[in-house]
Formats: sequence, C-alpha cells, structure tokens
Amino acid sequence: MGRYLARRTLAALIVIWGVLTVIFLVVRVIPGDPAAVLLGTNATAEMVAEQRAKMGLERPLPVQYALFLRQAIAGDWGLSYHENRPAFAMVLERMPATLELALASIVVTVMLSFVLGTAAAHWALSPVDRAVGVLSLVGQAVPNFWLGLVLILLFARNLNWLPSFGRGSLWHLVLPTVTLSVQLIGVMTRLIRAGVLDIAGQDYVRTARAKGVPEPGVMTRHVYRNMLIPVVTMLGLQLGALLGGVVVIEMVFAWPGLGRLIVMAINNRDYPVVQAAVTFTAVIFVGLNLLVDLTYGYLDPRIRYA
Amino acid sequence: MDTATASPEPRVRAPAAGPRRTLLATRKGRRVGVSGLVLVLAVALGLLGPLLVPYDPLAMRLESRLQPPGARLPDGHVAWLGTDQLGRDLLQQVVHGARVSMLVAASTVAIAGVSGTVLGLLAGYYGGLTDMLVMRLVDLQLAFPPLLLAILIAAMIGPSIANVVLTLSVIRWAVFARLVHGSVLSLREKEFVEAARALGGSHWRVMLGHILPNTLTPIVILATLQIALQMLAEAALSFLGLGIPHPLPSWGVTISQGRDYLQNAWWIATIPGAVMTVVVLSAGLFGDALRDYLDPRFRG
Repeated sequence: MGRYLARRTLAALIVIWGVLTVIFLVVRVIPGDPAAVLLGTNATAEMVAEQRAKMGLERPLPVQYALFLRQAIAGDWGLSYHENRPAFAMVLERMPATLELALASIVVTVMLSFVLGTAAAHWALSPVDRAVGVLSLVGQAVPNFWLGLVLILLFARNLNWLPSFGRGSLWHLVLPTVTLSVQLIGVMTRLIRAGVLDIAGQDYVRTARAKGVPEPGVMTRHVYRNMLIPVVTMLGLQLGALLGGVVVIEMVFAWPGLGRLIVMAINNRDYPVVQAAVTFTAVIFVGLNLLVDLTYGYLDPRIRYA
Repeated sequence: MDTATASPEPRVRAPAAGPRRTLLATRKGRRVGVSGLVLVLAVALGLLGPLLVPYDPLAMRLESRLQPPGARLPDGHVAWLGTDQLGRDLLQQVVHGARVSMLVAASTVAIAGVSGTVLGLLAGYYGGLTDMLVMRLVDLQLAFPPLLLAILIAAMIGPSIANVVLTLSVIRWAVFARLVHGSVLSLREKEFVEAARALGGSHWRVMLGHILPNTLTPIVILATLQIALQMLAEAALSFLGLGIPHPLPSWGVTISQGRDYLQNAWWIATIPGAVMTVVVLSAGLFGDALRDYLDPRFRG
C-alpha cells in the first residue's frame, strides 16, 4: 500500500508539473499585450514599456519559466493585473463557492440516481423503468446552460419561487445545483439500474433474502456494497465534466466561484489569475482522481495494491 | 424482485449467420435504423435547410424585432419561431445553427478520431519510447477537465470557426488514443499478427491491414458517442463568447443573446436549446443503438 501510494503520488506530481508547463506556454501565446490592455487605450509607448518591465514580460522565456515554476511552488502567483491583489488569494477566496456548488451537486446526484436507478431496476421493463430511462437520456442530452436559463425563466421569473442569481441562502443553491447535476444524474442512474439488476440476480442476494435479512439490509449490505466500485469509478470519470460544467453554470447564475473568475480573467487578459485559477482546478482534479484510485482498496478489501 | 409478473422480454434469437443478415432483421438493428433516421433528418436539415430557408445574418428589421412565434411580419412572411432582438427570423437562425453545430461536431470528431487513432496505434505497436511519450501526453491531456482546457485554448486563439474546430479536436484526441492503445497492446500478441509479420508484411502493412481493422468497431462506437459531446461543447463555448463569433448563427450564440430577453421574448433562448436537445438526444441514442448492435458484450 505504501509503495503504491508513493508511486501514484509521484505520477500525480509529474502530471501537475506538466499542467504547470502547459499553462505557462498557453498563457504566453494569447494575442494582445497584457501591459497595453492593463493601461488602456490612452497609454503611451513608454508607459507600456515600463509596465512590461514591471511585469517581467521583457525577460527571455526560459527565465520566465524558471521563475514561474519557483513561484508556483511557493504559492506566489503574482499580482492580478486587474485588481492589483495576489492572484492566489483571489483564487482561494472563490474556492469555497465552487466547492459548495460541486459538493451539493455530487450529493444530489448520488442520492437521486440511487433512488431512480433502484426504482427502475425494481420495476424493470415497467412504465416506471421506461420513464426513468427516457429522463436519464434526455438529461444527458440537454445543454446545461440552456437548462439553467429555462429553470430561471420558470422558477425565478414566472413563479418567483427561487432567486435566479448570486450566492447566499440555501435557496440560491437550488437552481445551479439542479442544473449542474442533471447530466450526471442521467449517467449515474443508468449505471445504478444496470448494477442493481445484475447483482440482485446473484446467488448471495437470494441467500441473504432466504435467511431472512430484511429488504433494506439486503439492498445496502449486499447489493449497493458490491456496486460501489463502478459507481465511484464513474463519479471519478465524470469529475472532469463536472468541473467544466461548473464554469458554464457559474456564468449562467452569476455564482461567485472559480469558473466565473476564470472567464472574467480571460476577458480582462489577467494572466496571473488565469494561471492560478486553471492550475488550481487542474491540481484539484488530479488529486480527486488519486483519491478515487485509493478508495478502491477501502471499498473492496479484496483489492490489494501490489 | 418478482420475476413472475415482469413481462419477460422476448429472447433475441441468435441472428442467422451469413451474408444475407440485414440490419433490420433484429430488434437491435431496427433501433439503429430508427434512431439513425432522426439523425439523418437533422443532418439533412442542416445541409439542405439553408437552401430552403435563406438567411442573411446581417439583415436586420428593427421594426419587427421580438415578434412572438407565428407572427406575420410587415413583408408578409410568417416568422414561425418568432424574431430576435434585431428582427432576424429565429427559424432561419435555428436551421443555420444546425449546420454550424454539425459541421463542427463532425469535423472535430474526425480530426480527433484520426489523430488519436494514429497515435494510439503507433504507441501500442512500437512500444518503448514512442509508447511512453504518447501515453504520458495522453495522461497530461486527461489531467485537464476537457471544457476547462477548451476555454483556455479558445481564449488564447480567439473566436472563429476554424479555431473552434482546432480547440475541440485538441480536447478529444486523447480518448481515442487511449482506447486504440489498449486494443493494440492485446492484438499485437495475436497469432495472425505474428503470421502477417512472418509472411514479410511491413510494419505499416501489419498496422493498417491487420491490426486497425480489428479495432475499428470500438472506434466507430466512441466516435458516434463523441458527436453528441462535441455539439454540447461547441454550444457551451459559443455561449461563453469563446466559440463561433457573433454574427454567424450558432445555437450557443443565439441562446446567449436570448438570455437578455428572457423576460419579454422567451422564445429566443428556449427554442434553439429545445431543438438542440432533440438533435443531441438522437445522436446519443444512435450511438447507444450502434454499440448494442455491434458489440456483443453489451447485451441490453
């Protein structure tokens, strides 16, 4: 286990180094001089040159790269060109909002898809099953930003039940969470339906029922327990879609999180903030995937890391 | 579960072997046909629609702006889906948006599919340094949430149709490379490959003539499923203002513009999205049906 952990962590660190390199390269190629953008249209050539020197844009690329790596590791991502505050602090400030939205979405997804998937499997081939099947397919096909707008139109504008933008009370969380979860629920429901159908037919489930284990016990201890590996794997695979979806959903609902910060920073050509925010998101993504791999041994004690 | 009351699905008989077995002879085959039909209709709409519904993105008629669906415009023609904030016909935008959407989806899947397949094939076949380089690149690629990477690249190279195609191809090649790499690793050790080599077949001949045909089925399935994903990604990029540039009709752009008029002109944002959902859904259903039909491991 220890050696496996070390090897996986090392691999994750190499990927993170690659991420840093890609970010560094990508951001340098964006057309437009960030110094000129920062100073606006009235700036003279001297002012722009002075600003470039101040921002380190005059140094050769390899020097910029070495400097970038050293500062990245130290958590020093430079000052935001736009707000003149440390970029990393701005990222950390926005993180709780995004985390809140992502976690709420995962919780809602897991709960709803277990309920829907189990119901569909329990009444397999019935109208319930077909309805759930159609819903989960449509859920995967709906463009999430469009769904967000439709929900705003229905529940915020017409019915006036829920707030349509911003963060604050629990009510603010409802529409963005639903919008973000719909696609994932579609994927997970199909997976759980198939898993329950498969496992409910196994001999050990029949044995459990035969020896009088009550139905909830059969489901939790025998059926669900043995489905956790595919479920966790699929959640891990869908994390990327979730983190990408967050960016779009935050723009739809004006949710003050990382995604909105990234899009705003791109529009302002605020390189340090773009770098810090994208890297941070990618690092979280790599970390979560590592976590998914490590939970396998816990979920299924038969798995040993050689 | 009570199996006695659940109506047992009629068992699919083993399809008769032989060349005369047609697509529509089995239930799974018919599902491929039906779901494919919707997709073909959508593609036809995208290809031929522009001929039937002429559209000039710059033709504004401010006097007939924000007209509801079915309104008759001063020039006599009926705007079946209403008009937008500049008086442009929404039906025209939806039809032309279909073309952009499908053009982008098809070309990006083709580019990503071919490049990913070639790289995966080379990596799996030659192994060693090639394998290591390509697969580490794949790992790196998959370390970014795809849409986040697309947003980053799109912001860097600016909005245009060619750039959207480039961006969305870059974010998908790795999936194909990983799939092909896995298949090639196992195929490489098979006797028929060894035989082809022993008969003096060149590396290229073995790769293209013997290994590739045996990995084609999963590639085709993956490609069909990716089309739906790419349509959604293009719309999301365009919605954020990082995709198809403004005057061109794209579903994402139209929805994004309708966002400011949700209150007094709901149709601008909602109708293109509804159409898009139907098209993406049929693409997804077609992919699923094709997988069930081609891959005997997935018996539904």
